[in-house]
Amino acid sequence: MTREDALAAITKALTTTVGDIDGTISEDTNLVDDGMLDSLDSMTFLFELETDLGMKLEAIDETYEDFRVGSIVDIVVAATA
Amino acid sequence: MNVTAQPLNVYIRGTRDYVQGSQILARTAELVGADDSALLVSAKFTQITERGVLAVFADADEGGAIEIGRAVFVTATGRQTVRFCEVAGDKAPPIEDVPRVTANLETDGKGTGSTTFAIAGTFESYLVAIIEFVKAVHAQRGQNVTDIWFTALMGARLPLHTSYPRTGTLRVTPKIERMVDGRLQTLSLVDTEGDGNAPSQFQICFSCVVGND
Repeated sequence: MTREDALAAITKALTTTVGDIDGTISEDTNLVDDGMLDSLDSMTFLFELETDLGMKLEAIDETYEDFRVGSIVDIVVAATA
Repeated sequence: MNVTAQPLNVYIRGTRDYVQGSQILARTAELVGADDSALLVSAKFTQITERGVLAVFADADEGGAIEIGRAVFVTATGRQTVRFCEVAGDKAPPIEDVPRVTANLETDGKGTGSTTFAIAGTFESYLVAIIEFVKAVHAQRGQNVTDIWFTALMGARLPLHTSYPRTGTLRVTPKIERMVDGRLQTLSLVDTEGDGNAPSQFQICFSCVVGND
């Protein structure tokens, strides 16, 4: 999966989780720090992302805290390589 | 019923020190609409309360009350978001506890489990069963698991006014786990098998504190 594809999958999971989002997200967006997801939403987001990808993202364990989009793109690209 | 903000008849049941989410959702369902197609699709609680609860419909003024959660219903007239706010003042009145509705709990201690249930077949009794069950599965995740809270329900299509199975089996499968501020937050899938109209699979979230001993 390319970075663009990963970003599209993340955007889709985000939209499913919180509804329509204002503007677009970039790899610099931090989904939690920028207020797009609270801790409950972050679980739904990860569930939707993993469901859409059809795989468990092993790099995102229970202690994972980095919700910068670029970091999640890195994980998705690596997991789908 | 056309309401904008309505106090809910909720109680502190048994030895609990909080108003159950199942009561809040069930009392709100009675206000949402009487059509048979009405559904609960999601709910989210951000804090617990031992006080009264106000259901605030649409953009009605909550009068400065603290929001403790919200739910989304679908009725014949469309989607309806209801906010739940804590009513300042006295505790909610007490009410006697009810017997457990689940039995034969089996769990792997890691969040997967199953149970049988016997309920009245109403929306509220079904909510009580799933929350009692998933709470029990969380309680088995360690030797000292405390503060186990039902926090959310998503991706659901739970009818408000249609009969549910009176007996059957519930299964829970963990999907996402996160540690946030010392609390374990979980997202799991709930499946229902029963003798009637079993609801389709949905997601449920809990949080708890897992001790080290």
